[in-house]
Amino acid sequence: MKTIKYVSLAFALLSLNVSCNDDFMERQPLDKISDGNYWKTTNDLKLYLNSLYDKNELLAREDGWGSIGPYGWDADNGSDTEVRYTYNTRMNGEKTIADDKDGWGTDDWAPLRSINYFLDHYKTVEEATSFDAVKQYVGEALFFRAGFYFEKLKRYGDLPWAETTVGMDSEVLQAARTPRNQIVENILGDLDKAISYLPGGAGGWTGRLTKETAMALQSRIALYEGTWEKYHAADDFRAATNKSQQFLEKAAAVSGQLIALSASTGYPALDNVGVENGYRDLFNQENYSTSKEVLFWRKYEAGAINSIWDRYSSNGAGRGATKNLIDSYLKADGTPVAAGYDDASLLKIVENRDPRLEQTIQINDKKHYRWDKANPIFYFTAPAFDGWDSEESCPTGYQIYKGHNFRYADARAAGQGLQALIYFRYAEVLLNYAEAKAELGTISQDDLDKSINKLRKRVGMPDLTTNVAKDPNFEFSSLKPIIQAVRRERKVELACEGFRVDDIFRWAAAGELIVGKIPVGAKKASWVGFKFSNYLPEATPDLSRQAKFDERVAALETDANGYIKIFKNTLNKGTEGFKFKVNRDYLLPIPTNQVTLNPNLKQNPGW
Amino acid sequence: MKPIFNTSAYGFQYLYQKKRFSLGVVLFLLANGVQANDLRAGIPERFVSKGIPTEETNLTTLQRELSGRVVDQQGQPIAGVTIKIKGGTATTSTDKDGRFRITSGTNAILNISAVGYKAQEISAPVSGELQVRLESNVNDLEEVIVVGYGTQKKTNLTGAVASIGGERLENRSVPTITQALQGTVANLNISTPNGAPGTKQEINVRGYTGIAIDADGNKVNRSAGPLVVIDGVQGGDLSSINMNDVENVSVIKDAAAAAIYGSSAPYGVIIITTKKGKAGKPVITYNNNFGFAQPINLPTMVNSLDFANAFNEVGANSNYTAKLFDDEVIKRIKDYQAGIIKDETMKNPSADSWLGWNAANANNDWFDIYFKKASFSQQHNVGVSGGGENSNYYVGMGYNQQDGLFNYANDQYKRYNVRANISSNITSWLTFNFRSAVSRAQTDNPAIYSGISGGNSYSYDYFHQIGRTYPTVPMKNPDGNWSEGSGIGIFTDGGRAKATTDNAILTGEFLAHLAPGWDFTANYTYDGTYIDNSNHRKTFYIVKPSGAKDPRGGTSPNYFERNTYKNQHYTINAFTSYEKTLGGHYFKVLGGFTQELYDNLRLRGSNDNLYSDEVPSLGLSYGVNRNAADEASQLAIRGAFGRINYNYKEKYLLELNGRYDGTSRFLKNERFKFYPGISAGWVLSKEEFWQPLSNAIDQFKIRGSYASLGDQAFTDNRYPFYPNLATTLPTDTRWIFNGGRGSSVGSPGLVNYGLSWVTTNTLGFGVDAALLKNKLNFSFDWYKRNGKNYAMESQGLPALLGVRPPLVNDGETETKGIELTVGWKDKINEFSYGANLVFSDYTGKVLKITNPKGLIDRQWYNGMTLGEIWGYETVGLFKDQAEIDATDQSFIHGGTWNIGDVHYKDLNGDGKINIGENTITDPGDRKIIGNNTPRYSFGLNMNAAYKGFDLTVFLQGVGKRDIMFDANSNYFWGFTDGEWQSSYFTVHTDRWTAENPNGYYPRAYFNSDRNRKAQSGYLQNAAYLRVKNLQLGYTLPKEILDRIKFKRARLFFNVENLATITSLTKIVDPEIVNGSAKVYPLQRNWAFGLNVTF
Repeated sequence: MKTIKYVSLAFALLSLNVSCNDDFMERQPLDKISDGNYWKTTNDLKLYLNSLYDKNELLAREDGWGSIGPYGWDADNGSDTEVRYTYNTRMNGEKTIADDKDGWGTDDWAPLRSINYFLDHYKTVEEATSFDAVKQYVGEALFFRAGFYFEKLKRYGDLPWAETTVGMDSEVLQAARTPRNQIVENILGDLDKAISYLPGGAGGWTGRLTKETAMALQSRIALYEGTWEKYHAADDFRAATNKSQQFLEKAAAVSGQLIALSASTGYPALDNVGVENGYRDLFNQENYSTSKEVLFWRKYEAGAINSIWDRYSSNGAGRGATKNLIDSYLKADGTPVAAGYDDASLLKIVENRDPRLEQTIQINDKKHYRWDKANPIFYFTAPAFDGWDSEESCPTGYQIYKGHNFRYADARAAGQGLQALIYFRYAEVLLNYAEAKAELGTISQDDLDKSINKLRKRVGMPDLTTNVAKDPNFEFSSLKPIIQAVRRERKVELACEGFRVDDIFRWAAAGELIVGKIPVGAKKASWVGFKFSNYLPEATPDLSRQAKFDERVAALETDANGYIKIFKNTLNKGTEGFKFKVNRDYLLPIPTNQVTLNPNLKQNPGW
Repeated sequence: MKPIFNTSAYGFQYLYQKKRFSLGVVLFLLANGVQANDLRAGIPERFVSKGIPTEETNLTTLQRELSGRVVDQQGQPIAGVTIKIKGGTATTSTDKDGRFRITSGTNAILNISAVGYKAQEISAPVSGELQVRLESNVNDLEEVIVVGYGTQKKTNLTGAVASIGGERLENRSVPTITQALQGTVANLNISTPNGAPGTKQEINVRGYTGIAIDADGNKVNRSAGPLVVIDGVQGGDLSSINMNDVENVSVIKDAAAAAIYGSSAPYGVIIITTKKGKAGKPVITYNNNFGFAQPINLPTMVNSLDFANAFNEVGANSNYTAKLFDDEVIKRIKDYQAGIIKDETMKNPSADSWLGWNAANANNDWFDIYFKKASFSQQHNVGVSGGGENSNYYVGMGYNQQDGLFNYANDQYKRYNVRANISSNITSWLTFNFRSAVSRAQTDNPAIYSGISGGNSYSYDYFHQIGRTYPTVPMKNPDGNWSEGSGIGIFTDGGRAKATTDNAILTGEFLAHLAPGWDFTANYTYDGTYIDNSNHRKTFYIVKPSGAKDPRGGTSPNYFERNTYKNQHYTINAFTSYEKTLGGHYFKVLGGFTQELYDNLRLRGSNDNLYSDEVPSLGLSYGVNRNAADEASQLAIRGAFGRINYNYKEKYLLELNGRYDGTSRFLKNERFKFYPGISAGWVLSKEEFWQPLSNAIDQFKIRGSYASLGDQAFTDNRYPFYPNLATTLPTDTRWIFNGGRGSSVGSPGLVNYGLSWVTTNTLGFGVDAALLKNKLNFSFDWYKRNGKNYAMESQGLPALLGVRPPLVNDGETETKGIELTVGWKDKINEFSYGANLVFSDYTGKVLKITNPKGLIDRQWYNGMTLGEIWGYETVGLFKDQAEIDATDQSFIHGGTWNIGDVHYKDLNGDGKINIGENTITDPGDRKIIGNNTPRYSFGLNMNAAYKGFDLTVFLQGVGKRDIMFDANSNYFWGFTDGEWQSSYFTVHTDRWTAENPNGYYPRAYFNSDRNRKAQSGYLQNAAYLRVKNLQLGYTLPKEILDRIKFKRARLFFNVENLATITSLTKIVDPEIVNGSAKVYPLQRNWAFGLNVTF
């Protein structure tokens, strides 16, 4: 009996393996990979870089509900040309210092880590193959690093510079910030390499970055820093050593190279030259794969990824252009409008004006659509003063047409727009070239002819000449007339594309354009008594808007000249205008915690 | 230990000599552990060889054979009751029918005792059969308590261990055992995250179990629950167990006692013992209850006119240029309320759509609309137990159904349970047990739409949607269809999210009695959980005024997703124990081995564009977003454990526990660690010097313990040492290349190869006492738990690092607490009554953390009291411009400050309100304004019985707790981030306006949180007292039962959450309050039911 018991027990014990670190205790992940399994083929590099294309911090997406993609960014970020139905608080000096995150958090720096991690690891693939096999991907990574740093530069000025993966004991974590122009030199250096590594875009659209895109970014950044250092030379935001000249020359050089490339190969080039509504139709397309002008863009795909801004753009999206923008357009003969020109109606405004105006804002001329596939066709009749909520109204009377894809009536409700998002178009490079040359003081008629005048020719405007006259009624009348003219061209050509706040800041122009300004829209009188029934038979769907429209128009407030005071009494009681602090608000504050964690960062001026 | 072996030998000897070898003798022998084999073989050798005892026995005095029967209070026979002649040696025990025979002398006193019952002493009657009714006595110190890998007499316990009998859980109309356990054990802290059907409760023993940082980089309390051991197998799930199957629950709070489970139980153990079969005629019990639940503590919306006016006013405060509700809409709202117009909205004049939100004129309280007045629940449980000579069985079956509260949404939870426990004696020394439990839980809820509905998780989204829907939003459009804004269509027609969770636990176990006092147990358990959940988003259409239909945003294309999980857990336990008493010295030694493997697998597939919404299936889809993925992980645990118990005459008690533990979660060099525990007790009441006190104080014991335990569960990651590259499926990316979307790979996070165990060291002292003849029981414990080598991220690294720092074992925390249990039990004639009070409290502190700058607010810092709330001090609301001009609050808000805004106090006197460096040394104008730790938790269970009636009242609550609602909680603040995310409930009408300058809430804004900073003026008091449960029962008298052939029948009426006293804002329940205040409400449940036994 006992024997059986003990034998059983012995068996039981033996059957249990009681050693410690055997296979049973060694468990490896079953669904994860690490560096050891990766970095073997060029496809590995490609897949890794795919993740960077998907990062909103590197390539911004359309902004979701209530937005109209890049065509609302000038309003959202603050400018003098486009506004939302509430005023921009940063422009009014209301920004406060956050305790943490707010653009300088772990997630905000994560893309840099991703990029640097790639640059630290791609070499194993290069060793296995060749530099030629990997250079495109290295170029993409360098492009992304440049783009990343440029966005941070615009917000914060001086920055910590890291070109390898930051570790927990990296000195840069506790270091002082690198001066901004050193940062820009580093960025431009990255882009020089990217330009030489990346393939050209003439070979067809791939969805990946191209050499021309890198050149466009380089011209943008060099011009940004060149003008920033020039116009902030005497204020608190100046660079330690002013390298304005050097950066402007770089901007002129790289944009000049692209222009030369265009001349010699035909890519890039402006689209829709001489085509009716050609300017308008640059911005409302689903697919730019055959475009020679759009260098880099984001595609959407039915059933997979949608943009939704056409849902809002037909009804104003709570945004609108200001009178300031409208006044900036030249007459069709190339001369400025006189003060007090006839702006009694939309039709009057576009009469005899730069054609880009009527292709940028909605005009009730029976040619501007809200939807062209609805039955009956929805022509634009009047701005959405009567919108039923703030996101479906136009507060200024100048409703944005640029970027509105009027072909999607059916998809609108489900938010399934496919409107593509443009990041870089060649026209900007032409403007960068002209501006850099003008700022350098070396601009020639030939320079104008191969840049701005190409844009003017596209829309049938007369050429700009170097001996352009000063316009005393237009902004920047204290600058050289050619600089004034170049800036006007930029304001007009790139209107509502999200460039304006960057331009104002780099020109140190907030004092002239923002401070004390009370934005106004259209003439109120032009909409008092407006009758939808008189307008067009095709407007029947709009007939029932009348009551609400009248009620809302009646409630509009005006300034002394009868223009709609968009923010009524809400912006500093309606009397004082924007209180942007020119000794503080050009740069954003660094969050408190980050300055505490690394006191060497030092807070930005004025904060 | 059964010290009856020798005495039964004497008894046998006597009977053998008298040749009274009857059936009774056989039973007697059997009951005393003599095996049938021995009998068949003739006279057991071991008895004969001992010969007749030489000492003089009492056998020759006048004897009679006494027979009797022992039953419980319900008249059920009790098997295994020990009957002993006082002062003599004769002992016997009852059989399955509760019968016994014993030879006793005249005038002998019989000592009758059984586990779980009050012992009785009865004089042997001169003639006739003895009928004994034993009272159950769970508080009795003689009670045997289930501890890790064994049992322990309560009187010999050296640690803080509580025990709850199954009867405390009976008839509660709550679906899970965790809900029933709430408030029953001091410092067993059970909280319900929300009131949704099927919600799992959070369990915590003795408070703070550590600290962590969430995905957003903010500090969060880590809540680690106790180890759940069901029938000796660790790793159980309380939410799937049927509480009607539960015999007993032990809660091991003491670390030394838990040390036998080593790293698996750093924060206590809950040991569940399920019912076992009893030999005899099968007994069937049937319990049911039917309940009706009504939501409690829901906010109330204001009428649409007041709503519209308030939104206009706040819009104006917020610098909105246009009125949100213009005059025309206001007029329509008035007309609708006056009955002049009947439709809740009208057609949009400028588009083919119905007006909604601020253009519609309805008058709806969405809480009224969304929630049922009463929802139904029911439970049915059947238990069958019985057994024969060598085997016995218990089979329990349960059905549990809980309907949700949502109108239109039709949410439901169902659970089915079957448990079978079978025990069989294979040989005289070997027993085989087989235990199985199968459960199926099903939830069937509206489909999950991100940002719209929360599906079965009832997340924030769902309640956010309800709370932000304007009263003016129509429920139905004039055409009779649900309006888009009501959201109802998405619940009725948007598809379903279903989940079925099947769990099967199978245990095979051998118990061997190798020699007297020496036992060996080995078991193997398979615990498999299979989950199948699906989410089907159906395309449904909004009907436009023209009759045309638009797919509701987000519902097109339709979509189907299926997840299957196979989570398997294999457990081996093998242990052996030996006990021996030598001259008052009692020893017990236990040693064993345990091994566990968790093996999880998940398969996930999804696609859009289904051929038919009638047959949602992955195979029946043609979309381009076809997605297939799996997740697989394993975790291995292995350990050796041991325990030594020693006591001297049950007066001086000592216990040593230890476990050598390893986990695959750490790399080889860090993997194994040893965790010991020591505890000791001194039963003063057994000392000579206690005699003068013994009349008043029956038992008095002091105890102390110290233990060191490991914790490996601080991360969910089973491979925290592995720097994996993040991978993304093409369908989850948002960039389209010319070949379509591409999959992508990202950089790895930072890992620490040296990551190892967290160690918790716990010191505890306790006192147990029983007074007034055990009527009053008292127990008090004090403890201090130190978490050492706590795994935390460094908080001293700038964000430039670009990634979360790795976990490093360098944090240290301390939790201190007390717990008190007082029980009273008495009987006056037929009236019996009792009360049990539990009270507990704890606080936690951070002793060491990597936060070199002492950052506060989002961070942990050295010396921090856990749960503390930092905020400004509120002076009041600005009364005039002069007061505003005298302050500088521009750090908080850069624009204009107005009358009615919050005036914050300049605590540091620097003339500015700000956060300084946001550090502990320079916190600016903030200070600690409160603490959200629930303090002074208590539960009071009172019961009384008279004749057939019984009444139980259970009160439960928290004595002190502060809540600071989030700045963006529109439930609390009303007006928050914009007009679309704001609410206006009746509580919000008490706010500052020019007409109501003394309102509670400050001037409201849609676009500024200037007045909603954490601050003393808006701190809420979440203390509460709740009548958690009230139960009234009536047991039918025996006469009627006999007639209907029932053994027992009881009818009862039960109410959960009957009433609550609290000063917390009326928008949320104090028991489930969180920072957003958006939670599925708890319910008051009215139930009635029946218990029968036959």
